[in-house]
Amino acid sequence: MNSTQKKQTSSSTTTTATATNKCDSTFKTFIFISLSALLLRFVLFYQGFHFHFSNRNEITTPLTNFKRLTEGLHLWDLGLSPYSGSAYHQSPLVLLLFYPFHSNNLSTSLTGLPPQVVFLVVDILIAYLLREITKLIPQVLPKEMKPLEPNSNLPNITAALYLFNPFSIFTCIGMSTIVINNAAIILSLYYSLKGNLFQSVFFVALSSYFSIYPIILLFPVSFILKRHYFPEQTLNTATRQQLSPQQQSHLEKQLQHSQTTMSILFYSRIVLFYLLSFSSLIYLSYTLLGSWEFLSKTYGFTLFVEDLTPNIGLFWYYFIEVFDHFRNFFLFIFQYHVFIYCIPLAIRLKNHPLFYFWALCAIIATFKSYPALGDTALHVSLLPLLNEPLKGVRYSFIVIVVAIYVTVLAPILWQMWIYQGTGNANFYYTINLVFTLAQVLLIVDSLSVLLKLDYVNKINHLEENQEKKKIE
Amino acid sequence: MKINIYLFLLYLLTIIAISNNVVNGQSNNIKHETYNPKTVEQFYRGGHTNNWAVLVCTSRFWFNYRHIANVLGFYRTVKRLGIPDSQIILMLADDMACNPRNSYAGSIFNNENHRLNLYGDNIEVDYRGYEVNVESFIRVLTGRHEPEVSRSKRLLTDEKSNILIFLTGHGGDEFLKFQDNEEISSYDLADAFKQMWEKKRYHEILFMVDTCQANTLYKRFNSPNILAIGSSRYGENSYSHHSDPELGVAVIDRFTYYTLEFFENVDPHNVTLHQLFNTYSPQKLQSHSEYRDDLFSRPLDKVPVTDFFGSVMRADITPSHEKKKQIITTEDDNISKYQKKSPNRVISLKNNEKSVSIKDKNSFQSKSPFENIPFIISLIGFFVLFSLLSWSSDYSKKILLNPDLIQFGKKK
Amino acid sequence: MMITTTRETRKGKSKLAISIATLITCLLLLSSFTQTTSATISTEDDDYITFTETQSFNEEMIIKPLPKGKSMMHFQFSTEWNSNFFDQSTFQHYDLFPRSIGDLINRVGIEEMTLVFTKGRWSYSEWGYPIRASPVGVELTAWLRPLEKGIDSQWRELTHSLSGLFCASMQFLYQVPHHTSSPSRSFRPEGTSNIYHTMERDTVPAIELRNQSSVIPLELRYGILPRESVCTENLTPWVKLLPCREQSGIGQLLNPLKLYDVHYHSMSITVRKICKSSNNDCLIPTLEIIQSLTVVNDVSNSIDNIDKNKVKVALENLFEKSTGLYSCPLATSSKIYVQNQENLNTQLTVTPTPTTKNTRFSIYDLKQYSIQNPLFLTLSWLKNFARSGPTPIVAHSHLTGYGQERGGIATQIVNQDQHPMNITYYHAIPWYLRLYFHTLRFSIQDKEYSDKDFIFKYISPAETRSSPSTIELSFEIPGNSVASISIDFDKVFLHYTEHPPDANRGFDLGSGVITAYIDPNNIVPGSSLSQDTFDIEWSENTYPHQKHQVTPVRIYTEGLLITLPTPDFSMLYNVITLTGTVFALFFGSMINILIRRFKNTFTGDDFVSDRPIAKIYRRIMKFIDGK
Repeated sequence: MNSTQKKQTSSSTTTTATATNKCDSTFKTFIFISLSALLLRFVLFYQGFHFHFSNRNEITTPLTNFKRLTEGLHLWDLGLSPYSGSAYHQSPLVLLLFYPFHSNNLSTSLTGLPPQVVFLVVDILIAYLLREITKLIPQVLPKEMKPLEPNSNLPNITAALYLFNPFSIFTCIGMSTIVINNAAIILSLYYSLKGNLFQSVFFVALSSYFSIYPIILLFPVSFILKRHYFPEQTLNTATRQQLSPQQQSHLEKQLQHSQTTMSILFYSRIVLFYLLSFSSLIYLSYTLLGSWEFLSKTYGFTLFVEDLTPNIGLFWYYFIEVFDHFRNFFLFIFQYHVFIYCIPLAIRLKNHPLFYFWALCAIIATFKSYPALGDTALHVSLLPLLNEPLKGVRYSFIVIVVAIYVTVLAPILWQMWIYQGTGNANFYYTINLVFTLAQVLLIVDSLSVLLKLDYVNKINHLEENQEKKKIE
Repeated sequence: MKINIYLFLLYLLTIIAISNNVVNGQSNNIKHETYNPKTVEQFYRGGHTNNWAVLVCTSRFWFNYRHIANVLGFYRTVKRLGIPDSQIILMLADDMACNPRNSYAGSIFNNENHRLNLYGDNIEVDYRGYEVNVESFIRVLTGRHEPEVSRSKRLLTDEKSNILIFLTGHGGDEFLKFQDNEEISSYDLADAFKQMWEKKRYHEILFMVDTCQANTLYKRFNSPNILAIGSSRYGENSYSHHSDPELGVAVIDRFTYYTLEFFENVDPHNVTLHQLFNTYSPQKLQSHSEYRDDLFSRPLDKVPVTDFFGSVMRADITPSHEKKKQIITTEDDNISKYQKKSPNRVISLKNNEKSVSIKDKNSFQSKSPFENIPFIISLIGFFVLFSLLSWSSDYSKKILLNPDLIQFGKKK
Repeated sequence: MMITTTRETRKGKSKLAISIATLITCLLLLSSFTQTTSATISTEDDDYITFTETQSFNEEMIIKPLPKGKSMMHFQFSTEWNSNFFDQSTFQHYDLFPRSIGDLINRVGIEEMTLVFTKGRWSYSEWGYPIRASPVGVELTAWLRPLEKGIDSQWRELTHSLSGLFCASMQFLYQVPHHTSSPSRSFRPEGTSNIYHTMERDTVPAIELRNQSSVIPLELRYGILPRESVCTENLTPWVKLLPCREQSGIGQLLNPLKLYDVHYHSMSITVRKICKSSNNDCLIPTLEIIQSLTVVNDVSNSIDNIDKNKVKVALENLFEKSTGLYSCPLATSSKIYVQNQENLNTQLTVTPTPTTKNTRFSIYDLKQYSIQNPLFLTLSWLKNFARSGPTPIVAHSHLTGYGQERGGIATQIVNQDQHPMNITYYHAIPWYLRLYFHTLRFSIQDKEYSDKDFIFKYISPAETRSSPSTIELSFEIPGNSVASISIDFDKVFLHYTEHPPDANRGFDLGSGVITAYIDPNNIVPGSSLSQDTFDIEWSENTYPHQKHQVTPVRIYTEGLLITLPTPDFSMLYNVITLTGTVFALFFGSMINILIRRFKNTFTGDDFVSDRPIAKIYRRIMKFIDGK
C-alpha cells in the first residue's frame, strides 16, 4: 500500500512537473495568439476601418452604437439628460465607463487614451477567460467534456477561435458596446465554474443590467454552481464499513432530505444576491444621473422597440409594417418568446448545464429585439466547448455556408436599398430571414443531437449494468 | 251595471277630448297664427328645409387633374343654383390651380376651350391636401368631430336637410381609393349613412359617384331615403371625356361632363331627376350608369333637381310685423344708453399696465460624475458590501463542504 | 286637463309675484349704477385718460422697381381699433374691425399674432430685403397670454380656428407638431403697448398688471407648414376681412389670376397692440390688424414702345382691372408710394404726376381721385439697372451627404457689409432627423468657435414624434466674413402609417431664421443698407417704432426637401406571415425535441413508455381485451 501510494505520489509529482512545463508552453502560445490578434485589430483601427464598421447596422444597433454613445456623453457634458433627443439608449454605467476616454473637439480625454483601448482590453479579457473556462469544464462538468490532457491545445484553440472569428473582429473594430455585455456573460460563466457564487450571480446581474435578456442565464449558472455546492454525495468507504446497513440507509436518507432543504436555501440565496446586485446597480445609475428616466429610456426602449432601424433581426421590419391595433399584442408575443424557453429547457437539460447555457445564449442572439453580429460571436465562441456532443450534427455545412453567404450579401443588399435606390426594403428583409433560419437550424440541430446522445448513453449504461449484474 | 260603467267612461273621455281641443285651440290662438298648409306647399316641396353638398375629390397628383375639375364643376353648378359656401363641404386632395405644372396659374378648366375658369376668385375649400382622408370624410358625414374643429368644416345638417354627395377618384369593386394609400369600402359608406339616419342627420341623400366600377359602391346601403347613382357597372371602367393639349392632361370625365352639360342647357327649376338620369346613355358614357332607387320614397319623375342641386332657405313663421317694430323701438331706447355703436363714445381708462422684464430661469449646469457626491458614496458603499458578500460566500462554502464526513464523487 | 286654481294657490301666487317684482326693480337699480360706472375704473388715484373710441382703416401700396425687369408690389391694409379692451363686452360690437378676428383674439388670449402664406422664394442677394420676410409655406407666430385653459389648449383652438378661417390645414401645427417650437431670442413682439424687449440674455416679454401686482409672461408659439400650398381659397377669406373687399380702393387690384402667376407671393395678416401716445408709457392701447400682400412680378415682357431698354408697366393691365383706381370710401387714407431710388440710375418715370414727391417716394393720394376721375398709373424704368451695393446679410442652407441613411445640414451666413453685426440663427429640425449635437460645427472664416465665443447658445434635442430639435445661436459676425454652421443627422425609419400619402416625394424641412440687428447709426443715406433696409417708417400711417431701437431684419433660408427611406407599402401581410413562419418553425421544432421520447428501433424491443397516461391506456386496453 505504502509503496503504491508513494509511486502514485511520485508519478503525480512528475506529471505535475511536466504539466507546469506544458502549461507554460501553452500559455506562451496563448500570449502569441493574443498579441497577433491585438496587432490585427490595431492595424485595422489605424487604417480607419472603425469609421466604416461603426456605422454598419449588422454590427451596431441603436443600443450599442458608438456614435450614439458619444452623443450621450456630449449631451451629458452640456448639462442635458443624455437620453434627450433619443440618440443614446444604453444604461448609464456605460457612460461612466467611457467617460474617461471621451474627448471634445477642444480638450483631450481625461486619461489621454482613445476609447478603442477599452475594446481591445475587453477582447483580450474574453479570450483569456474562454481559455480558463475550457480548462475548468472537465473538472466541474465531467459529463460534458472528457478530461483534458495537460498539453491539450483546446483552450488555446477556443481563445483563438474567438479572437479570429470575423464576427468578433467586426464587433471590436465597429466599437459596439455589446462586447462589454459579452464580457459580463463570460465572466459569470467563469465564476460559476470556479464556484464563486456571489461573483457569478453579480455578473449575471450586470449583464442583465446592460440588456434585459441575460436574466434567463441565471438558471444555467445556478445549475453549474449547484455542482460545486452539492457535489455527488456518497458515503465514504471507511464510514460504510463502520456503520450497519440500517444506519447506512438511514444516513443516506438524511443526507438526501437535507439536500432538498439546502437546495431551496441555495436557490433563494442566488435569487437574493441577484436582486441585491441588480437593485444596487439601478440605484447607482439613479444617483449618477439624478432621475429615474433611464428606466423607460433603456429598458422601456428595448421592450417596446421604439426605434425601427434595420439590423439582422426580425423585429424592425415587422414593426414597421404591423397594423397599429395589433402592435402591442405582437410586441408582447415577440418579447415573451425569448423568455419562455428557459423553463422547458431547464427541465430537459438538467444534466447538461453548459449546453443549456449555450442554448440560451443562442436563443437570445436570434430573437432579441436588437440583435447584432456580436451576439452571434458570443454563442459561436462557446461551440468549441461542446465539441463532444456536437460531433453528430447533420446540418453544419448548411449553417456555415449560409453564415458566409449572409455576411457577404447583407451589405450588398443594404447598399442597393439605401444608397443606389435599385432595390427595396424587402431585399434586406430576406437576408434577415435567411440568417435567422440558419441560427434556428443550428440550435435545433444541436439540441436534437444532444438528446439523442443522451438516450444512447443511457442505453449503453443500462446494458453495462445488466452485464455487470450478469457477471456478479 | 257594466253598460253603465262603459257609458260613464265614454262620457268622461269625450269631455276630456273636448276640453283638450278647447285648450289647445286657445293656446293656438294665442301663440300662432293659423295657416293653411296648401298655400305654403310650394315653399315646402319635398319636405326638406335646407340643402347641403359634400363634394370630394380623392385623387392626388397632376395626372388626376380631371377629378379636381369634376368636383369643381359640381361646386360651380351647386353654387350657381343657390347653395351658399357655408353649406358646401369641398374636399380637394391636391392643389391643381396653383400647381407649378399648371401653365394657367389660379385656373382650372373642365373644357379645352378654356371658356370657364372653375376656380374663379371666390372659392372656399374646406379640406385640402393631406386633410382629405377616409377618417375625416367619415367624421364629416357622421358629425363626430373634436370639439375644436371649426364650423366651416362641419356638416351641420338636421333631419330636414337634403344632401348631395359627390365622390370622384379611382375606385374598384366596392372600394374607393383615397390619396393613393387608403381606401373606403362600400360597407364603411353604408355604416356611415346608417349612423346619419339614426342621428337624424339627413332627410334625403343623392349619392353620385364617378369612378371605375362605381355602381358597386352603393350596393350595401340599407338606410332609407338614399338615391344613388354611379357611372359604371361592376367590371367596367369610367372614361374621361377629352384631354387638353395645352395642359397635357384629361380635363373632365364623361359622366360629369354630361351631368354639367345637362345643367347648362336646361332651366334647372323645371326638370326632374328622371330627366337627368335619362340623359346618360351607354353610347355617351361608354359605360353603364345605373341608379338605385329602392331606398328612395318618392318617384323620380316627381323630384325636381333643385331638391338636391339647388337651395331652399329655411322659412320661419313669425308674429306680425307691427308688433315686432314696437318691441324693437322700446329695446332701442334702453340699449342706446349703454351701446357702443355711437362713434363719439368717450372712454375713460386708468393706466394700470406697465412693462417689465423677467429673468429666464433656465440654466444648465454640467456636472462631471466625480463631483456627484451621492454617486461616489453609493459606489464605495456597494463596493465594500459586495466584496464582503463574495468573501463570505466563499468562506461559507468551505465550511459547508467539510471534507471529513463525505467525499466528492470523483472517479479515480 | 282642465286647469283649476284654488284660492290658496292664487294668494300664494300673488305674494310671489310681488316679491319677484321688488327683487327685479332692486336689481335694475343696481345694474344701472354699475353701467354708468363701467366706462371708468375707479382706484385710489383719480388718474383718468379719456379718448374717443374709433375704428379706422388705411390702405397703402408701395411699388419698387427691381433689377432684371422685375417689380415688387406691396399692398398694406391696416385696421385700427381704440377701445377699452379690459371690458369683455368690447368684443361684441364691431364696425370696420372684422368680427372673426376680434372673436379669436378674445377667446384665445392673443397678444400678438402673425400668419403668413408664401409661395416662391425671395432672392435676398438680388432684391434686398422684403418689407415682411417669410419662409415658404405657412408660418404662424403667436404671442399668447396664458389663460385658465392652458397654453396648449389655446394653441389648439387657435390653429383649428385659423384653419377653418383661412381654408388651410393649420390644425396640423397642433396635431402633428413636427415644426412647432418656441424660440427664445429670434422673435420679439412688434407692438409696444405693454411689452418690453431688450437685447440682454435673460429677458422674456411680459405684461405686468399694476393693480394686481402680478407679472404675466407671454408665451411664444412658432409653427410652420412648409408643404402647404397657397392659392385662391386662401385669398378669398383674407379679402373678405377688408372693409371694402375687392370692390373699391386698392383692393380692386387683387385679382387671383394675376397674383399667383408670379415669382414670389406672400400674403400675411398681423394682429398687434400698439401705442398712439407720444410718451413711453402706453396709456391708450390700440388693436391693429395689418394685412399685407407682396408680389414680385416679372414685367420684362412689357417693353416701352419708345425706348427698348425700358419696361413700361400700367397697373390696370398688370392686374387686369380695366377701371382705374380710386379710394375706398371707408378708408381714412389711401395712398400709393412709388420708390424713387434716386441714388441708382433707374430712370424712373411715372405718369400722371404724383400728389407729393420727396427724396424717397412719389406719393399718390387716392382720396383725390374718384369713380368719375380714377387714377391710371403708368411707370417706366430701365430694365437692367445696377444696385448700389450688395445686400448686407444673406444666408443659404443646403443638405449634405448622400444616401438614405444619414446626411447633414449646412448653413452659410454672409456679411457683405464692412460693419460687424449681431446675428441670431434659429433652426427647428423635425424629430425624424436624428441630429448629433456633438457634430455641430460653427466657424467664422474657417476659425472654429467654442461655446464661450457665443453670446447665446441654446440647443434642445427633439422629442420623438412630437417637438423638433432646435438650435439657437447668437453671435457677432465681423464685417466681410462668412459664418458656417453644420450638423450631421441620421434619418429615422418610420412606421408605414407615418409616411405621407406621397411618400416618395419626401419631407419638407423648415427654413432657418436669421435675425440681424442693424444699428441705425450704420445706415448711411444712399448706401445699400439704407436702400435695402425697410424700416417700418416708410409708411406715414403705420405705427412707427421708437427711434432708439435697432432695426431687426429677418432672413429665411431655403426650404429643403429630404427623402426618408421607405418600406414596401404593399408587403404588410407578407411580412407578418413570413416572420411568423420563422418563429413558428423554431417554436415547433423546439417543442418537438423537448417532448420527444426516443425509441430504440434496432433491437426490436417494443418501447414501453413510463408516462402515467400511457400506463392508464395500457390498463384500459388490458381490461378491454379481458385479460
